[in-house]
Formats: sequence, structure tokens, C-alpha cells
Amino acid sequence: MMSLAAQKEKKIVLRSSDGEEFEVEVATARQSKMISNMINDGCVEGSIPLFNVDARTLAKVIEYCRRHAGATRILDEYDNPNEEIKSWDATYIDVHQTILYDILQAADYLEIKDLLDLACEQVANIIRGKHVEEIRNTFNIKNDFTVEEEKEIRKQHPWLFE
Amino acid sequence: MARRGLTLDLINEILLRLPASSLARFRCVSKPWSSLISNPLFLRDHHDRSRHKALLLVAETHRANPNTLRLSTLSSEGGISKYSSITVPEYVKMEHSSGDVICLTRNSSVFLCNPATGELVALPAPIGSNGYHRFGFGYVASLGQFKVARFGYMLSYEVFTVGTDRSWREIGRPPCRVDESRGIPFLNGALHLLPSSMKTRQLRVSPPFDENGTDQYEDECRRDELFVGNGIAAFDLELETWSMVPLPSFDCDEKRELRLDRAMLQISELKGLLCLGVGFPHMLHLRLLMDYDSGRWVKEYSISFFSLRHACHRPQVTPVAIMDDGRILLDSSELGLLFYDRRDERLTEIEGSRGWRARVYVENIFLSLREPFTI
Repeated sequence: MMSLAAQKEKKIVLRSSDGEEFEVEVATARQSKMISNMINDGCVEGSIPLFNVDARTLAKVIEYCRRHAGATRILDEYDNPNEEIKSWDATYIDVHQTILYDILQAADYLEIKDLLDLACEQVANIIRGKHVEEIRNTFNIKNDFTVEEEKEIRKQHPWLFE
Repeated sequence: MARRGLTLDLINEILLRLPASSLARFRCVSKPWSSLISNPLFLRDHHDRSRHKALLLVAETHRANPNTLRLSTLSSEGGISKYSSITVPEYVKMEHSSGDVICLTRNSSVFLCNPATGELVALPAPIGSNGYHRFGFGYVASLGQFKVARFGYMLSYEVFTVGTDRSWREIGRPPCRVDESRGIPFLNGALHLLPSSMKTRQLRVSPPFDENGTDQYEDECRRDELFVGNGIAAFDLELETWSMVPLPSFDCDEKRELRLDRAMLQISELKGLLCLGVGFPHMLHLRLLMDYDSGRWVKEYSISFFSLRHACHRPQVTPVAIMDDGRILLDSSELGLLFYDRRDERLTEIEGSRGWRARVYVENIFLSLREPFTI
């Protein structure tokens, strides 16, 4: 086991899918369960290649991990995230939708649970009021219902489609 | 737009966070979405999650317009936004909420309503009686149905299974004489009623009586006790049997005030726990039953009403919910809705809320009251 001071100084190098390298503190890297497991296994010599995350997304994800690793008091006395971190999160995730979906997928891949929650929550807020057609466009989904099938579903709760 | 298609796992995570009304609409996005949203496992996860995201539903009725029950949601700042309007056959008040279903009552009339769909079910009213009933209700998971029980002064105690029964069925008598006017909360599968106070037992005549009209509880009474039975009567809605939940031990002040009939007890449900209130002049003590099986009560709040502008000697105040930041929402017919913050012991009144009723509410658009419903 390394001492805490030694851990603090040690850096980990992450390499994005487009080849850019990022040097991060161990505490920051450990926000990702995937990387944390790799550190525990002792296989972080050299750089860690992240084939699914590009440089723009990785920079954004590291920004989140650094803030959350450095936050001294994330929870208040009622076990809720404190106001400061909540408002930081809200500003952080208020990004263009393409970046949002990249963050979402990166958080899923890197297993950063809190960031995944934050991104899912944000996507849910964006799409909750959307029409069915807008949802299909947003998620690149092909409508595989026949006209009759779709009509049948809409008939069950007609007021929802007004 | 998502450049790469999101995996169904991620779609699942996102959909879990949507309100039921969006989900019902998104069933026609595609076949994979439809089968995901209709999957019982998904529905159960969604329901569990919604439970933590409860809304506060406020019901307003006006005598001038008795056929409309206006429902709104209340924000943690005390703001109101319109939710829906329910057309009701008569002037009713929101009495309880089981989460997704609300119970509307007036004298001996009772209705169950799903505010998300507007479905309203009227239960049969008693024939030829001017009785005055109090109601309790809850969802019985093994049946997938709701049961309503009614308790009344000089009346038999009865139960009704919504969607199955055609008339009310009489139920067995509680282990002690109960006071149905002090709250009938539903939790742990049972309706809970406080025992009658010894102070008022002479005045109150509740069932049961035997064929000769003799009160069957007489021999149980001990003069030195505060209550006729030293426990809260619990009626299991599934089994339709009675049991007892112990009362807490009261402190000296409470005992004295209860003996002098200056303090009153009430029960309600708060964050899934049984909550016992002792209401003094200008004060309310709230205890929570932290461990139902061992009967461990913890005194959580002592709320003083001295600071209020409208002095109220002994307000009838019911705790409704605990907010994310720890404040409690209180509901009072005299004072309206109030927030109590125990960090600075401050009460904040919600402007213009007199006559409003607030209850915790979880939207459920899939629930039908007439059909058995399971998730």
C-alpha cells in the first residue's frame, strides 16, 4: 500500500481515443470505478488508453472528477449533496446536447456513477416534454410500428398526445 | 443528437427518470422502447424511484364551486403550480393519500381518485343513516387492489375492496376501544387508530355492543391509565385482523397535560413511519416509531406555535412530509400550510393556503382503480 502522501503526488496518464494524453491525480482518476479497479490491480504503468472517449469529452469528464475529488464536504448533515456542489453540477452539465450525450456515454464506460446520474437526469429533463417524433430524431430511432399499431397505443391515453 | 446510438441500458437509465405521463407517450416511439416501458421489472424500478421523487399535492375546494376539486403541486419554496381539476359529485376534502391515489371524503361519502388519470370511484354510501364516518385506506399488494375501511361513532366498523365488493363488510372489533377522529394512517399493511382517552371514554359510546347493548370493553378499563388500551390498534388490510402497536412512554409534562385533557394525541404517517403527535396549547411534540417490530419511539420534533401572527391556542396540525433540506411541511385547517425548520426553529406560513390540504403524491398513470393493479 502506498502512503497517502505518495498517492497524492502520483499521477496517472489517460490517453483519449484521438491520441491526446491527460495527466491526472490519483484521487481524480479514482472517481472512475473502472480506472480505480485498474489502479488496485497495479496495471496503470504508462498511459491508460480509453478507446471510447475522445479528447474533448475526456477533458470535460476530468473537470468533473477533479471537482468531485477535491470537494471537502460533498454531503450536508442530511446526507444530501451540499448546495455548492449542486450548483456547480448544474452549471457543469448545462452543455450542448452533443456534448451531453458524449459525457453520458463516457460516464457509463468509465463507471462514474454520480456523473452518469447527473447526465441521465439532464437528458430526462430535456426530453420529458418532447413529442414522439422529436424523440425519434434525438435518438436516431426508426419507427418500426405500423400506422395501425401506433394508433392503437395512442388511443389508450389520448390526452397525452394533445 | 446522440452521435452514436445509446445502448438500451442507457435508454433504460434515462427513462427511469421520466414522469409517468412522458413514459406513456413514449411507448409509441418504437417497439424496443415500448417493450422496455411495458416490462414489469422496469415499471417496478420506476415506481420505486418515483416514490423518492414524491410531489406534494395540494387540494383546494370552494363551497361556491363544490363540484371542482383543484389540484396543484407545491414546490419546496411554497409555490403552487396547477396539476389538474377533478369533477366531483359533491363538496369533498382530500383526506388521505396512499401515494398515487387520494381519498376524498365528506361525512359518510367517500371517493378514491387517481389524479394522474382523473379516474374517480365512488363507494356506496350508508343507507338511511346520518352516521358520520372516518375512513382509512391502503393498497393491498397481494390482491393488487385498494381496500377502504370506515369507522364511525355508534356504527359498525366495515371494509370495502375496491373493484371487487358490492357492499361494505363488517369487520371484527379492535382489541381496545378506539378514537377514529385522531387520524387513520396506513403503513406496514395496516390502518392505525389511537385508543380512546380514559378522559373521554364516558362520553364516547363506540361499538361493539353485545346483543343486550352492553359495552364489551368495560372490564378492561383501569382508572390509573391514560388510555383504555396501552397501545395503538392496527387493522391489517390484507388479513382483516387486529393487532396492537405499543404507545411510547410519555414524559411528565405530557402525562399531566393529557390527564388534564389539555393535550391531545394524533397519529399520521411521516416518511413511511408512524408519527405520534402530542398537541399542547401552542406546542406540538412529534415522535416517530423508528422500529415497528420492537416498538422503539424517538421524539424528533418539538414545535412551538408562539411565533405565529395568528395566535392559535391549540391548532390541529398534521405533519405531511419532510423536505429534502429537513424542513417539515405541516397542514392545519386553522393555519393553512406551514414549513417548520428545526435548525432555526422557525415556522414559515405559506401565504393564502388556508383551506388547502396537502399530501405526498406519486404520479401513476398506469394505475386503474377498478382493475387489479400490480407492479
